[in-house]
Amino acid sequence: MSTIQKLTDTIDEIPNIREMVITTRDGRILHQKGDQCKALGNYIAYAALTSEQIKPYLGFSGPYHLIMEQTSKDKILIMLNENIIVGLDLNSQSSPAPILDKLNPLVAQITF
Amino acid sequence: MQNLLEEITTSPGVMGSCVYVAERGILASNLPKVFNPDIQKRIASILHRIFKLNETVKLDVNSYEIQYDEALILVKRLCDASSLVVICDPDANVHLVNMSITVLASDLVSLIKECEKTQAIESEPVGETQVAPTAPLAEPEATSQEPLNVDRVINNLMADEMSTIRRALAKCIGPIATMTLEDEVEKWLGTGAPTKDRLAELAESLLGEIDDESAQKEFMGDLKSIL
Repeated sequence: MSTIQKLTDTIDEIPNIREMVITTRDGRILHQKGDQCKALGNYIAYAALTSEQIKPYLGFSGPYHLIMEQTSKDKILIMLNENIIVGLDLNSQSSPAPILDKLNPLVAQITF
Repeated sequence: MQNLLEEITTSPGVMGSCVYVAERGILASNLPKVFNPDIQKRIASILHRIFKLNETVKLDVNSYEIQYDEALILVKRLCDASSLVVICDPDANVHLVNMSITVLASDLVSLIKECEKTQAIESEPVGETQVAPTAPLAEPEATSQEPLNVDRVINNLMADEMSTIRRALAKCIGPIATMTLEDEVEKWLGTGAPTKDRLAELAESLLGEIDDESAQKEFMGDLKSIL
């Protein structure tokens, strides 16, 4: 089983995830599930690039994830490695921390 | 305002914070001296842009966090024109810091005059705010059957000019140029028709997305042929 397949299968088992999108660093969609994936794909690519953009000023390494919270308390979780960006649209019942614990090791393995 | 930032810093794990206002830069800060004022302004300006995307992608993101090895950055939208940036230890208790930020955010907003303006605009009756967006539809280019939208303007009506702008912008801000252009064109269309004599207005708004002064000059130089 490919690593992306393993990742998406694991994401499918997690409750309260409404949409999932996996893109390359330039925003090309590799895998998607949900109705608004193009918009979500563009958004996560933009957010990830923004977090990369400030690194030179701060001398930080990473970033590893971003958590965006909406007024409704719904969240967008973004995980990234050198090759891909994973975006998950979570409802307000969902807690990002255990999802990160579960998915980070899988995201870190993905290369192509 | 400085006192409010000091209160945030009393939360365990908080290194410091700053308040950014789009037209004025850093309004107050108690970040460590290693983050000099110019760096703070650049970082906060980049981080604030994320909130500008809300309308484009139909989201309502009002805060976010970025986890790095060395730090956790929390960004809270205070209003359309302003954000609070908090830099914490990487393992700071985010919930505790967020609670402190939430409690103080309204006090910070009340001290920022730009927030008063945007809140006043947001609370205007619907009937009054509908006038501006419909204005472009009266222009000749918008009378065809096809709806006037960002894609059509960028890829059809003004494809050559937009291509020039996108290339020039990409030289300054990289791969986010396309999304930034779409975002700004949408706002541009909200204030008038997509005509060549209004391109200078679009260029002016895009300048706000370029942090470096020499890059701004290069950008305007690249657009000379279409302005």
